[in-house]
Order: sequence, then C-alpha cells, then structure tokens
Amino acid sequence: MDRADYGPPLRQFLATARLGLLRYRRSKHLLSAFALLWLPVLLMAAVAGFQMFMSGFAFENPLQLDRKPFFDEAKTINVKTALETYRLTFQNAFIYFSIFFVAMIFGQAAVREETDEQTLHYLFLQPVPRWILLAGKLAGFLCMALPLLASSLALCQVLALAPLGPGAFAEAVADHGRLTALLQEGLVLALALVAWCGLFMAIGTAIKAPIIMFFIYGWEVASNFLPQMLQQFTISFYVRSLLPARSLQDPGAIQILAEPAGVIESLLVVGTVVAISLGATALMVRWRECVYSDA
Amino acid sequence: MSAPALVELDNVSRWYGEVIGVNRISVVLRPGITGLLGPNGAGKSTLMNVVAGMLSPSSGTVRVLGQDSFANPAVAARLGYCMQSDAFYERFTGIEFIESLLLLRGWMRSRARASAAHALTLLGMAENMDRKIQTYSKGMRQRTKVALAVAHNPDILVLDEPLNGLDALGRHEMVELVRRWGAEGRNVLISSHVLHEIEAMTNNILMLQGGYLLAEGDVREVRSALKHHPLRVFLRTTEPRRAAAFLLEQPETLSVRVEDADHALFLETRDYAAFHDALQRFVLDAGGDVSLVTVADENISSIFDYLAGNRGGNRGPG
Repeated sequence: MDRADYGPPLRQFLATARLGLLRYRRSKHLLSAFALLWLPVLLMAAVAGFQMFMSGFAFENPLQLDRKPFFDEAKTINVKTALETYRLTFQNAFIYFSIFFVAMIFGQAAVREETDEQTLHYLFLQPVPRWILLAGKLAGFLCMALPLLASSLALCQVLALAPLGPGAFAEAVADHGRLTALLQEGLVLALALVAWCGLFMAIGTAIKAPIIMFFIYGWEVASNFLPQMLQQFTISFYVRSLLPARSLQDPGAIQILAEPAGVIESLLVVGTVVAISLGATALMVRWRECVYSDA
Repeated sequence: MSAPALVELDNVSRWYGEVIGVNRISVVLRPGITGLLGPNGAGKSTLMNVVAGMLSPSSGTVRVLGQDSFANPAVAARLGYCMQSDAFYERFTGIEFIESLLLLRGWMRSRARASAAHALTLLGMAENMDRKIQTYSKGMRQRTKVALAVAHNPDILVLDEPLNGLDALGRHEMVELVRRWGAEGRNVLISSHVLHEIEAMTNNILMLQGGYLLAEGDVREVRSALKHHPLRVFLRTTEPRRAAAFLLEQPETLSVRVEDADHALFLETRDYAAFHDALQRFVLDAGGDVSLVTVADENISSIFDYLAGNRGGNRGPG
C-alpha cells in the first residue's frame, strides 16, 4: 500500500464522537434520555410542592395572624431532612432508574440499531479501526447525556432546598459541603452511566433479545433484599459505595444494605466492568460482517 | 517488482448457511471499467460485499491492491463502495452526511466539506445538497450514495446497481459519468442486470448466475452467443393480425400471439437483427403501422438461463 489517506486515531475518535452526538441529538432517543434523566426533577418538584403545602405556604388561613403550618410535623423540615429527601430521590430515581434505563437504551442500540437501520456499512467502509468507532460512539452518547444529567442533578438539589428559602442553600453549602458532594455525585453517576452503557453495548452487540437487560435490572433491584454478600455482585453496590454519603441505609426499610466497599475497590470493580465490556464489544465488532436481514 | 492486481479473487465462495452467495469464483479484475452482470439473486451484491471488505469469504482469498480486504482500514482508505441498501442518516442534509463520514477518515473539516461539496456537485446535487435527505427522491438518494463513494477519490470504485431508481436522464448522466471515470483511468466495478446499460459503459464484463461465474471477457462474445437466443418482443400496432401474418412468414419467427383488444402482439424470434429487418419491411414496403416495439424480457434472467443451459461457462459441479 503506497497511500494511506487517513488521519491520526485521535481525530478519527473525535469525528466518530461528533457523528454520534449529531445522530443522537436528532433521534427519538434524545427525548427518551431527556424524559428519563429529568424524571427525578419531576419527582423532586412533587416532593417540594408537597412540603410547601405541608408547611402552610400553599393553604395558610388568612384569618390566622400567626400563620401556623397546616400540620405540626411540617415544622420539623430543615436542611438536614431536606437533604435526606434529596438523598432518597437520588438513590432510587437516579441510580436505580434513570441512569440504568438511559444506559440500557443507548448501550444496546449502539451497534444493533445501525444494523437494523442498515447504516452500519457507512461506518465500516471508513478506514477507522472498529474499536475507535465503538469508543467514539460511547463518547458521543456521553456528550449528549452528561449535560442532561448535570442539569437534572443540580435542579433536584435546588428543589430539595427550595421550601426552606434561600438561606438553606448557604447552610447546605457551608455546613454540609453540598457543592463538593454534588460534584462527587455527578462523577459517580457519570461512571455508572459508562459502566452500564458498556455492559449493555456488549450484550446488545451479542444478542438481539432485550429481555436479558430486564433480568439484569431485576437482579440489581432484587439483590437489595437478599443477603448482603449477594449485593456485591451488582454494579449498583459499587456505585453506591462511591457516593459521599456512603451508608444509604433507609431507616425503617425492609432491605438491609451491605456495608459499602472501599473507594479503591469500588473504582477497580467498576473500571474492570467497563474494560471487559468494551473489550468484548470491540472483539465482537472487529470480526463482524455487514449483513442486513433483507439483503 | 510488478504492482499487485487491483482485485484478485482465488476460489472464493461465500454461503449464508445453506444458501450459496457465490461459489468458487476465481478472477483477476483488469484496470478500467468492469461490468458485473447477472439476474437478481445471481450473487452480484455478495461478490461486491466480499471485494469491499463487508463480508468475509467462507473459503478462498480476496486480495484488493495486494491486501486482504475484510475489515481492513488500509483497503477502505482506497476503495469507494456504493451499496444497494437505501438507508441514510435521514435527518442529515446531503452535504452534512458525506462530510460527517469523510471526517471519520481523520480529515480536516475544510477538506471534508470541500470534497463532499465537489462530489455532490459532480453528481448533479449542487442545488439540493443543503436539504435533508428525508426529503430526497429515490434518484437523489442514489446520487448521494454514489457521491459518497467517490468523494474521497478512491483508486477502486465499486458500484452496486447505481442506475436503480434513476429516471432516463439520470441513467444517461450516470452512464456518461462512469464512462468518463473509466476514460480518466479509474478502476470501476459496476453491477447491473440490464445488458445494454453495462454495454454502454464497458466491453469488459463478468457474468454471474446462481452464485457461479458464468463468463468473463468481451461483451461482444456474449452478444454473439445471444444471437440465436429466442427473444420475446412486444409490438403495438393498429393491425395486429396483418403484422402477425407478415412476421410469421419470416423464418426467424418462432411464435406469435395476437391481442386484438389491445392492438398488440407478442412475438418470439430467434434472431433479433433479422426480425428488425423484417419489421422495417412491414412498415416501409407493406405500409404497416407500428407505434411501439419493445423487448419483453429485457430483464436478463432469461438470457442467463439460456447461456447457462447452452454454454456452461466457468460453472463448477453441483
């Protein structure tokens, strides 16, 4: 070969990520990602509205000069309890729902959808190593999802503290270190997104039936109600272990969450899942032929 | 040291489970334009997919510019392929589509944009390149695919039925374009199931049927073999019975069927040239009125059946 008219791998990777981002932004998936990642915002808004109602802001008695809250319990709402409400929403809505399903939709569609839509050959006909195509696709997905995730996370935090007024933000930042914690939570969610997306990319490339994804979801959720040792065989266990509030045990809940793993151990496990998933997908795609069902 | 062959297939077979795609094909493509001719299901697309590195052969070897073609970026860099599939990134504009794919080559954006615009202009899409692909007609989509295949100025161009979906003018323009590329010294492998379309572009053909290479070489040899192939012809005339009587007297006419209601007749002849002469005599000498003459089996399937039955070609056992 005397002429290799193509550029460096980094530029190819960036171009693949750009193409992925352009495609995702114009696909129906953008709406799915938006709906799923902003669902916690809706939840948090509902909770905040309910708390405001409980505090008597919404239905105060105009004849009552002292403006007592409608329910006495509402008097107990403070920054600490508001952050606890936020934490529960974060754990249940983000980790166990939004992140998981967004990653599932995009991960399993990454290669499968190109085959179904008969556009895979456009990628395979370019002089790009296939692992770069894969990594670029994942990067494109993250470029699309991360701004949605960050905005959703920030809004949830704001809504959690909104019923307590502007002073609550200052207190949350000063006394509870919420800015750092928020950043850490965002990074952990991004890592979870990569881990699950990688896993689903591998599964989606290997098999067509999405049912296995729901088995994985069932296992991730159900393991919380199983002996603590079994919880270590889930990705969510290590994701939870990386959060600033490391014990997420909900008082009064019927499940008993396992003691969190160490930070290094958690990072290693999640990193290994990502590496194995992407490696397996790259191997599968490396030798994949471009055959369409009706061709 | 001599340069490697452009495309070299050595005993190449490709099966889809039990189904034969192509079987035991050995051929070396010559520089210039090569026409790949065969009826639907002959294995043309499979052969092109194997050459373009989209499929791996079940057995045998495929070398493109001296290298294995399958999933090989070095081959992809120098090969342009227009696949038959009509799928696109529908929400992209034509220029955005080609530019985005050229960028995957690691090109700078300005170069990718300019090359995309140049290719689309070459294919007559200058005025429509900024429209979304989902608004394109079938012909415009076909032109966009071909523009993508040529945009990076490949050494080898593989075009799978590029004339499909084009109107008469579009077909003419595409044929002229391919001829020009050939004249410029480019190497083109182009498929069709219509003999005269291929003949308009090149004399060098490969004929496939049922996954086997039936013949290769000069199209004139094929024409010669076709000389005595029974050909069905459709005529529209105000006097179908008189035309039938006249043409039946000709020795090359094998059968005639008259359709009075439609002022038409179907005729089977073993020599199209002699039939044509007879028809001229019917019109000029006998004062006959013929408004339409068309070959009823232009789809080349029957011709291949004929050739396969009479010649055998490069056909393997089984």
